[in-house]
Amino acid sequence: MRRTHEPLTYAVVAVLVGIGVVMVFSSSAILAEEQLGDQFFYLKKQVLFVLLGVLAVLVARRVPASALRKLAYPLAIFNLILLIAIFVPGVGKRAGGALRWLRVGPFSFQPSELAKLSIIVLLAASLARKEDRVREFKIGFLPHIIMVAPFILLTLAQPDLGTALFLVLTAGFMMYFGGVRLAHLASAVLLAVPCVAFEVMKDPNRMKRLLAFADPFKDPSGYGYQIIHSWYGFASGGLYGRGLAAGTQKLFFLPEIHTDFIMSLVAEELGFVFGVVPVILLFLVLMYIGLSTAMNGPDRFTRLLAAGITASLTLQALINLGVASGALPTKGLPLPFVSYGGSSLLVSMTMVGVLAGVMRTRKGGP
Amino acid sequence: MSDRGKNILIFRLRLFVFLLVASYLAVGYKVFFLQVLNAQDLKLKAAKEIQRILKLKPVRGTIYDRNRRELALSVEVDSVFAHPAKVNSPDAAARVLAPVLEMKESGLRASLASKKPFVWLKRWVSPRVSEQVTSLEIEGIHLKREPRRFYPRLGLAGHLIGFVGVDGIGLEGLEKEFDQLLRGKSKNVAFNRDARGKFILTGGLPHSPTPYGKSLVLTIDDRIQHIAERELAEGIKSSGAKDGSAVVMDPSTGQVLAIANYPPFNPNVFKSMRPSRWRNRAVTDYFEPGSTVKVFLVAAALDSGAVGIKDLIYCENGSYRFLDHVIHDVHPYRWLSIAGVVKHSSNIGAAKVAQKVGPKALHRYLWEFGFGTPTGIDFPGETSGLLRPPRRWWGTDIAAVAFGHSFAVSNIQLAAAISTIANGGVAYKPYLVREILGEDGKVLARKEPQAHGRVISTKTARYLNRILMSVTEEGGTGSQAAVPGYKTAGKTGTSRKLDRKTGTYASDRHMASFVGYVPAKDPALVISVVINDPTVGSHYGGVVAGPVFRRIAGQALHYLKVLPRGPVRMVNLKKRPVTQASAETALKPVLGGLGVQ
Repeated sequence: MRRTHEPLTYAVVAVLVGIGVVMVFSSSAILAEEQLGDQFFYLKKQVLFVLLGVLAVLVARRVPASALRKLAYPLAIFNLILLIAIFVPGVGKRAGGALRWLRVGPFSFQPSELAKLSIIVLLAASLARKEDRVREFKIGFLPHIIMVAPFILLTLAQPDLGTALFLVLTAGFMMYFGGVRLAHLASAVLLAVPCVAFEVMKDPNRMKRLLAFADPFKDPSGYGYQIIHSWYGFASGGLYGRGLAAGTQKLFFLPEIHTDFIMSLVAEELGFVFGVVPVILLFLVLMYIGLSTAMNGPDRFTRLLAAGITASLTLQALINLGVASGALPTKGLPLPFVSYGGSSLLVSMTMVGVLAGVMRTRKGGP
Repeated sequence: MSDRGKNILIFRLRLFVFLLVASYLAVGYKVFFLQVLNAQDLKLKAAKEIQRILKLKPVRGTIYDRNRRELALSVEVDSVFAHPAKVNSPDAAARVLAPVLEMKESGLRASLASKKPFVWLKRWVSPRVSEQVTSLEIEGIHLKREPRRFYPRLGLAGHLIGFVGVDGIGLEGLEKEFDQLLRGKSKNVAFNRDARGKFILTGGLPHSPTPYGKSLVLTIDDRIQHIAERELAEGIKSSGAKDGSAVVMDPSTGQVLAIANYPPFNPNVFKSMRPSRWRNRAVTDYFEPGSTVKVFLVAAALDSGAVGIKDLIYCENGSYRFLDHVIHDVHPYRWLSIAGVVKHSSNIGAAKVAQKVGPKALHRYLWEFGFGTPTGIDFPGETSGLLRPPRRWWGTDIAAVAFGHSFAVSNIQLAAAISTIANGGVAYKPYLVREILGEDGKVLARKEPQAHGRVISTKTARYLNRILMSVTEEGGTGSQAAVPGYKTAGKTGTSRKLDRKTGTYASDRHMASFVGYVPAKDPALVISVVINDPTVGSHYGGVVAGPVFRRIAGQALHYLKVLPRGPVRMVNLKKRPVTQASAETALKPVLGGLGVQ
């Protein structure tokens, strides 16, 4: 019986989640105390979702690959219904000018987060079935574009350009792993460029944000504000950090510090050596585990599933770090396991559960 | 699944791994750049935004007398201010605050309705008022602790200490002269703040946050100061005079032990007093000294050898024609020794002695005694007096100077000059501040006595000592200045005041003075008393200023525990050496309006 990477996977995820819980508390305590009168508000919610996530892992790892494959389409349709339901008055929850959330009792849930997983499962199932014919445009490329289009368009309508772009990326790497011809993908990229350009340019704010990315100090109090203060966080942390809770930028300077910009606080309080490098290494270990699981998967579906989940988590982390450090333009994307946010945490942990399930299949499988 | 599909997947996964790791490294480098390579630049920018420099105002230093008793000190007191924008109802707030602050409601309402972000409502309120303001809990009304200057001894040495303006800048007196030292330097403390401008003090306050100015220890002795002020006031009141001053010095060091001025001045309420009352007349004002200058004339005559101690001077039986003027003496004399000229204060004798000395030498001696130039005392606004150079002395000027006219001195100059004689001939610079203290009370600087050099020989000084003692003896003009139990040396002075309107000397307005030292042998104190315009009774220096000298000296010597020597000779106060009537008749001024005792 071969040893699996399952325990190591849990260990990596546990450390990331642990860093997340601590940093979410550090980043949000003062904000929560000021706004809600309860410094533990965000911490409590995050911990609750960690517990739900653990449950999700335990359930997901037991779902057999074959069952998951059969569930691919129902899951996709269910997810689409959720994405549409957002627009039903009274069901969706508007925040910050965007309709992104579904009200679920006292909580709210982001269906576009689930779409990250749904698309992976859907495309893995479809691409696995098509085997060698994926190289044909009409079979390997076009149908999959059509399948993911509703997810992307509905997300775009919220509007949530960042997540929509990531869903496009997800579809792209799934087809890439699935063997779709690179020429098709490349042409799709070429076609997508003007579309994205149009999307960006039709909104003057997005344009300004893009320009601020090039030189934040040109607009230090406007669009450059967030990235400049994120940089201040990084710089103030230095090699070894200012120490836990000693961050300065969380004191109302850096907006979204507990969600999309949590890496700035990790960098400020824990430093490059104790904060940034460990987080990068943990995601690289996760990549190694995930991709070796993919390579050794028992069948094409599980291989694609494992590769897709791994790519999704590591790319999100990469993009998040890129945004926080100003290497990429500011687009809201959480850092998996670490950022505050129930939906992201729950979906990311479900992904880990599914990945673990694949490891188990290989272990116990034929 | 076909092998081909799997091979493609494996190839593409490897390519993905390569690109992903490369991207991670690139972003990792970007972070390293931010956190380490470019951190300094960003940190500076961040610090600009996060750090706020809080300027901590220093607490003004204390002014002590020589025995470290506080004469001026700063105490933290509440002031009431408002953020008018945060005051919900200026009308209601004004109505409630007006009786508490004892201010007019309309004025308060205007302040509270102002568009300024910050207005003072009342500076420096009493603890009771600040407590009431706090208990009112009005939105937008706050208290701020500010140091306020207090002069706990009220008017004591008020002219000397001066005062501080509302904004903590010394405006008069020692507060002005030593303003920079007393005020101290404000300390900049860098605090971090959050995006809303609140200070973050988690880093802790600096150990000693409040900076202090330096403190001064004066040469003034508050007891002697008190004695001088009390006796001067008494002397002025009983003689119906307008004003006056008294200086008490230690002749061996130049340390000023007291400077009293009248009318009194209480720096706590300087605003309610006319600026003329702020003046430290002893230092800032000059007057024609009258006969006291004969001391220095005789010093010059003896020291230069122009006149010998045994030489007799013919005093013309009371009336002496000099050029186109006639000089009179109060009492007619024929032959007087030089000692007699001083003891009886003969103007004719003085005029003759002065001619023997000559203008050049007389001027040089007067200059070296410190006349015609500021003494350099550490006090602002000192006058240099008036002493013309000898090439500008015309006609009878040599005689006028000889009995203290057509030149002018300040009281501090007079005291310093007589100190020179008292200590045996060396001129010391008078000074008021002997030590500068750091905030921990340690002495940072100590001022040593500063000698200008020898003015007259010790032999001359000894002669003068004997002559000046005779002034206070029976029959001398200054007998009322004699301190019981001590040999007292000194000289009286009475000069007519120049009427500024007519340009002539008024016959009924005088400056009465007495300057001297005690005990005559080994003097502990030099005291110079000047009283302006006595109107009741005698106007003579010996009668008006002499007793003030005696009383200050007597009490100060007792306080200083200087033991009396020899039998205590009681002065018969009823017997006046010069009666008012005799003075009136004797004074027939002809010398260009100069009537001199």
